[in-house]
Amino acid sequence: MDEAALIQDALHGDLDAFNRLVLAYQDMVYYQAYRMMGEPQGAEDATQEAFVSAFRKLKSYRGGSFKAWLLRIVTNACYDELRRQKRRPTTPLEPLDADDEEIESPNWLADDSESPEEAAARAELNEAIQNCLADLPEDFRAAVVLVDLQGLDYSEAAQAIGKPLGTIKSRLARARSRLRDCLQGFWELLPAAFRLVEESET
Amino acid sequence: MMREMTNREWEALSAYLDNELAPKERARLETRLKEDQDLHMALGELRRTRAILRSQPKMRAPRNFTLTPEMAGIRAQSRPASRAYPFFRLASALATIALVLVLVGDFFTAKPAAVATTRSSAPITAPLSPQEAQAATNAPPGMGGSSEQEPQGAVPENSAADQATQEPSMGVMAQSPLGTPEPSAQPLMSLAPNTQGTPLAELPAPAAKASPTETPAEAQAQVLQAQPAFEPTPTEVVRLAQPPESTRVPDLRYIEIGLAAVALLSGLAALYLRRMGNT
Repeated sequence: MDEAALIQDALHGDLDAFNRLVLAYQDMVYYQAYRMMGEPQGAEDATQEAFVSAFRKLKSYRGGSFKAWLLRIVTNACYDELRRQKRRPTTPLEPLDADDEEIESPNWLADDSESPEEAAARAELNEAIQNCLADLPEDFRAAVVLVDLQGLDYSEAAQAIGKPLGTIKSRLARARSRLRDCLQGFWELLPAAFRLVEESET
Repeated sequence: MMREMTNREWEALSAYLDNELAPKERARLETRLKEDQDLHMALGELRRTRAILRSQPKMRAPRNFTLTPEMAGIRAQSRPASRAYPFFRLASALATIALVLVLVGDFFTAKPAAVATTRSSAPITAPLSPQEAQAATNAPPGMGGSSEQEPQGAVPENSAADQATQEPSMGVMAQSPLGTPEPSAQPLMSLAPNTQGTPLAELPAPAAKASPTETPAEAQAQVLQAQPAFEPTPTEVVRLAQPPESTRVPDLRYIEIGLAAVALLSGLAALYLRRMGNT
């Protein structure tokens, strides 16, 4: 995929070219939205909104990382959506339990090499992470999702939040230290997942 | 129990894990890590947290988020249509503005006409009487002892004038016998066929009895007096005001209707082109 050529074509109103970029980046954009919003429906809305606004604002893309530019748009779309939700808080029709979470996000469990216990532990860990992320201020959450969950480097992440490198550095550090506190309670509960992580790290 | 780290320490540890510390800072932190057990422990916990986060599998989008032309706000093949669209849009706007201006103009020009019509209807007797009174007071210098007759003349005049306004022909017919004895009164009657004619015709009658020689001169004086009174007669004002009004108003109506039609049709054309452009 020649990204630059597709962007050029999209700039001239070629929707097919833009849609090829959408297909290439939709997983990443949706994942960002999901981690920011914490639930699938809001994430879908924010993702769609982000792509619509990306197409309209394509002229404002001034080179650099297109990925970071898209992530910035989706992150802002999430901020807007979260603000909207705060203004008119809605109660879900049926509270989501662990089983619902599994059904709605089967991708999390799409690892055949895992035993059922490991899969369950991983699902529980994932839920714990999502709960801890939800407790973070939005700016901190965006920083840690961009760097630790999306795997962006500092300069790309800074581009994605439209702030200097120092800002992403400090927000990321504070988000990580808070997540360390938040996840501490789960470490003992999740020996298998934890061990997997430890092994892969060392 | 580990001591609480400062934000600055967390920041250094976090950047250290990402290998984002400047070499000098990095060396300083590594020295401190060897000496400070708590700092070392904090680094371990932070590394573990970071590892857990990074171990999370990425998620796939549950569906495709490709845009439809509607979502993108694209007008498909609207180029040829869109060229005519601004023209119609402008035409509609200009016609609307012109229509408003004409309507405003019409409103202001229609105001004096409305005043004229109100004058013609209600106070027709009121303006009449001062003018008749003036004609009556102007008359005495010409004729000696007619001062006695003036009020008498004025009283029936008013009633005659009222009658005359209701039935002008009847009024003139009724008064004309009074005027007939004096031949010089006839031209007066013809000059003023309206209600004004009645007092003029009536007044010379006694004068004719007193001195017939005086009558032609007096009649002339009456004519001279009658003429200024003739022009501003309210009924005449109405007659003068009405013809231009009746000729101007239809013109304005035609212009207004025309402009409204242009505004509406060009507006509809622009709307149609826009809809065509969108689909």
